Amino acid sequence: MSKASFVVRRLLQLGVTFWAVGTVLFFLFRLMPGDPTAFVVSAQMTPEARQQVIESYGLNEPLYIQYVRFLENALTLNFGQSFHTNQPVREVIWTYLPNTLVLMLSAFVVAYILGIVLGVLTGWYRGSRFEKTTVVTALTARSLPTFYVGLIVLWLFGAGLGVIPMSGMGTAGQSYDSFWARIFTLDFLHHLVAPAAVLAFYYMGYPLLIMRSSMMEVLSQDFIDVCRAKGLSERAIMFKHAARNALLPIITAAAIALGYAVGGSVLIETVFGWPGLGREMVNAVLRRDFPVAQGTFMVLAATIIILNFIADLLYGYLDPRVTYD
Amino acid sequence: MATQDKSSIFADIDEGEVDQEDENVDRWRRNLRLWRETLAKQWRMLTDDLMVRLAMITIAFFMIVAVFAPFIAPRGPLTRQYEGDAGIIIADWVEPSFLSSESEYLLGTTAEGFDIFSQLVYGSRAALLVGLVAAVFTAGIGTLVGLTAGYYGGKIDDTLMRIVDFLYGMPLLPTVIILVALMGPSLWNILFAIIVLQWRSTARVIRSQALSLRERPFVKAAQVAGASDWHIISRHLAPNVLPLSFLYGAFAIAWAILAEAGVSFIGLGDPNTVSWGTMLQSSRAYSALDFGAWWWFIPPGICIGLVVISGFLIGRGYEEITNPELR
Amino acid sequence: MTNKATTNRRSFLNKAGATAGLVGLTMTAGCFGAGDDDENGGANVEATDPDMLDEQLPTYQFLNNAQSYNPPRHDAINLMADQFGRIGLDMEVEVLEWGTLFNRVDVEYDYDFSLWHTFFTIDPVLELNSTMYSENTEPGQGNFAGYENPDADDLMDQYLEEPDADTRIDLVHDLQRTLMEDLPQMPVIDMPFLAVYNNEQVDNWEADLPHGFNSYWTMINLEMQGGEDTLKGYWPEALDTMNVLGHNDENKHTYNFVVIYDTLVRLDNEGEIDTDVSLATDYERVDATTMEYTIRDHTFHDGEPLTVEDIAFSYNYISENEVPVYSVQSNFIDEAEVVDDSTVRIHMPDDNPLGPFNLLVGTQIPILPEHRWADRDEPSQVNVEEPVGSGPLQFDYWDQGAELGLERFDDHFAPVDFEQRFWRIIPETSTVWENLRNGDLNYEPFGRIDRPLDENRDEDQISVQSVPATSFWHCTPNQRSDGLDDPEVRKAVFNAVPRSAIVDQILFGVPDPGFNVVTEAFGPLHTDDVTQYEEGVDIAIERLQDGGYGYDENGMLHFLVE
Repeated sequence: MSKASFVVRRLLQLGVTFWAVGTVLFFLFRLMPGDPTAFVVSAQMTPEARQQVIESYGLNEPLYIQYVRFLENALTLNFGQSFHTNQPVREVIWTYLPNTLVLMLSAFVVAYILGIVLGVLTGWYRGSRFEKTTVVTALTARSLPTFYVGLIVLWLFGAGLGVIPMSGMGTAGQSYDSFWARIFTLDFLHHLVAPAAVLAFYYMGYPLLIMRSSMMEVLSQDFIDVCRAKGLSERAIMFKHAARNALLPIITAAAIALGYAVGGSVLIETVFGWPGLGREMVNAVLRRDFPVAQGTFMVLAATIIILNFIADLLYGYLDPRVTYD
Repeated sequence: MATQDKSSIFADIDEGEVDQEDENVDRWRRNLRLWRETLAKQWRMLTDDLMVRLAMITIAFFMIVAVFAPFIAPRGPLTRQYEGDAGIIIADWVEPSFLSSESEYLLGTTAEGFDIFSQLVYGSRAALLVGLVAAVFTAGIGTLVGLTAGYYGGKIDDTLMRIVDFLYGMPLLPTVIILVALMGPSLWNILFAIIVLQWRSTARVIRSQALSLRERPFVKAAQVAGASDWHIISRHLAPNVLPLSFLYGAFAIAWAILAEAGVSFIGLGDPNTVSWGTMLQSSRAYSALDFGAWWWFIPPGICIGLVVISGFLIGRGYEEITNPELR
Repeated sequence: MTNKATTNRRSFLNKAGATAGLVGLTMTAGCFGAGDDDENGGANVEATDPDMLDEQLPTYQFLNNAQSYNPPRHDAINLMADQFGRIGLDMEVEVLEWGTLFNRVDVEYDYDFSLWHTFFTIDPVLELNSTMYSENTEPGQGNFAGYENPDADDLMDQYLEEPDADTRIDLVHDLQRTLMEDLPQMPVIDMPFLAVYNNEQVDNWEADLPHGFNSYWTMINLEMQGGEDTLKGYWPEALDTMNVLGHNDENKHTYNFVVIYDTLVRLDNEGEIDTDVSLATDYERVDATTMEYTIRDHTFHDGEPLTVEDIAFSYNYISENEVPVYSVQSNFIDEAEVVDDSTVRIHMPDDNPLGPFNLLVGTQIPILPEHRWADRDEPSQVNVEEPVGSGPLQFDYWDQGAELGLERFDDHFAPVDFEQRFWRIIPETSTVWENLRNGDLNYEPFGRIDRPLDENRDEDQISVQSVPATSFWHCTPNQRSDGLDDPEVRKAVFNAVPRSAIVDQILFGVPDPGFNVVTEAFGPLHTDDVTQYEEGVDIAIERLQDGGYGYDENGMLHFLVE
């Protein structure tokens, strides 16, 4: 099969997956107990007013009509208006998604740089105490819930030493014209450090272990000895060969892991008061704000699906042995 | 996972002969023997590693604690403690007995007057229940689906893999949150939601393994000899993918426990069950750390960490079996 | 005897758990909680002659909010259910997250006991009229208690129509006596308004009746200290909207809109209309259904003049469009009419005159700029990005999910003493207190009563002020349930509510135990002269035994044979 038709077929599958996710989501929400208007109405509202609210959201219409409308809208990336705030869902997404992405991306960059370097070193110094400690630390980091580590970090460094801010993306009382104007300030960086570090600590284990096994594979091969015999620098050898081998699994793993990390961002966002998409999604689910919950969930799902797709393509691009089947 | 294109060292475990006149009973016996041998061999390889042994001891320890929780825990996990008999005086925020000689509570009490140590002990039940049940189902469903899809191929494969694709598109925590909001916050519902998503990676990896096994000579030979599909799957394919299933099962323990803790932390945990996750949530709701009550916040997290890391270590042990180059 | 019964049951569970092994582990998962064996404790009382006993009272569900939503209330409900168990009721606590909880209680009436917290009751009868009126017992109509009493209905009807304040007082006193005798709702805790602030930065906190220390009156009277020019607050959850007509009356929104938008008249801290700080410099009741207001010269935040046309527009627009959040007020507005450049008249419907019009409508309807709203046809669904009002604070920025900034409107007739005010979104109470102590925040608008408050209230820089509020925690039994339709059972249950334990131990002695559905904060409208209920499980048991109920040997409450 040719590369092009492989891509087309995968894209079609992608479309089907999106449709399935959207449909399942739509019906899950409609099955949910609890009145979506419960939060929109106030206790003092008259019953007529309450009915009017329900009608204005189209919630009194038959399910299939609501479903068809949902599909139509989804095709144009229009997820409707929040029941709660009347804000278009698209705007909600634009407000919160960048915050989540900037946090996750910075965490991932740090995690993967750190992971790769430590992976190379542990692979090289195989059997040393350094290797054992590092591997155990990485596994421990992976085993503790991020919110737990986050709270301890806040307690120690925030409340205790006062060196990191307790919450949010910036010092209170300051406003910025745009997202970009904000993220290049020192103040933002100061707020970013703790949550990003906690996440990086959590995610570095994976690249570390991949890199380490790749190193070990390379080291076990004979040609290393040959290279050594030729007097090449040890470090140059180990890095070049091991890195080349590990690059593919690391890149694809990073792409896939990033997708899931964005999906799981709610925990760290809650702990550090980070106004991100994950937190917004959970809030929307809890208050039955279907349009926002659907829209934000679809974005989280899309991040995963698209990053998986990219990982697939990269796999084919970077590894010529892969056939498109 | 990086292991999916690696070959298994058990690729040619089959004796290569198929006795046509075998009775069913006999077949079963042979199957059993084969499985037992495979498992025993893997067990020996697995327990060779000190880390894996430690991990297994840890899990076993928590299992014992979970089973004997009512004997170990001095009080009910959600039994409010009162001071004296007169009136209602809740014994809340009591310091642990190792810090205060007046305290009769090993790890103190919570803001609501629950015994923290008892909660910790009972919490192991929730953790292991979630971890082990999720592991069994993740590995079980995943292996079954993976083998079926890989062996039969064609339409069956396509359909099953589209379902897996769909599941891959669902972010774990948000999906669990939605399902729990839908079905109500109980431990079983959380568990169900986790399982629904977790089997996807097992299925995918096992399928690709099965795809390659299907082309092996010993499978072809069995097919030519007229062996039934079930015979081939159970006898030739399954034992070969078993280490992979176990690997994913072990990892599932870890992920499931982390997911349960996460859901509880958001406040959607089972309110009638004490788990380490709900303990963390509750200690945070009452700002335990701020009042220096680390004995409320720190222990549940450590317990989670211990069980989860054990899952990872056992999983890694299996990874080394399935991928001998790592050794 | 009870204790023995519980012990036996627990030791049975212990054995079951222990012998079951790993399989048992999964099987007994359902009763992991193990806490429930205490809740069904039963009363410690001598059993009644078995021949006299009829059916046991049904199992009652006490619906609880999740702990994360409101820890003290969650805890209080558990404690109450424990105590109800001790008078022989078979209690089950069901924890639900908020959306479902609200729906079960307020719309479906599918519950037995609930514990609710009411906010913003500007007038006691207006609230009771929706929750206690006999005609509102259908699902979703408001009377979730299922209380029906024509006498109470009469009193409420008369009160709302009565223009004379003294007569209204008599009527509402009668109503309180009736309600506290029938006990459709038990006032558990009177929640006070709290001003919690950093006194090095801001001082002079005065509360008003409906909004406490978050009111307009409070804001215009604050005095900044030590050169501080920013009022720095927080809220635990994000704000939803900047649309003054499109919110759901949650306090986080109301507290901001009351200072961004002016209303015709404003209340002072005594609950009186104060025209010195109101848009209307004078008002007059022309006849039973007409109010006339004289308006001062004023401008909107965008510099456009605020005219009588804007006021007439706001009233007509809100009532014609049936804006849900003002649906109650709309019932009392027929039409607003411009008389001259500085005078406007509001007409009430002929068949629905309202006595306390200023209080219930005049202080509530926000004055909108006509030039911004005239073209919006579904006002409650408009997505407003920058609200323009005429209040003492104007919109500065809104960093969604993170922070709202307001700044002083210099041209306001009742200016505030600070340059700007922000609310930061901080869910963590520990973070809030960290900031309050070091001055990064200087007031606590949310009014959480918890241990951090208790631990910090004696700090030098922290001041805590408390005034009675109109809001209270009320426990409502569902009279649709068997047994709870008997006032004697409700009274016994109220006897069993451990009010002082909840106050002292769960709420750190900050609020007072409740004893009346109209709290002290309402001043002359409140009366002490209502039936009082002493606390105590023994009193409750005695009341039940006298009231035609008996106990079985497990201490569970039964009906008696006729």
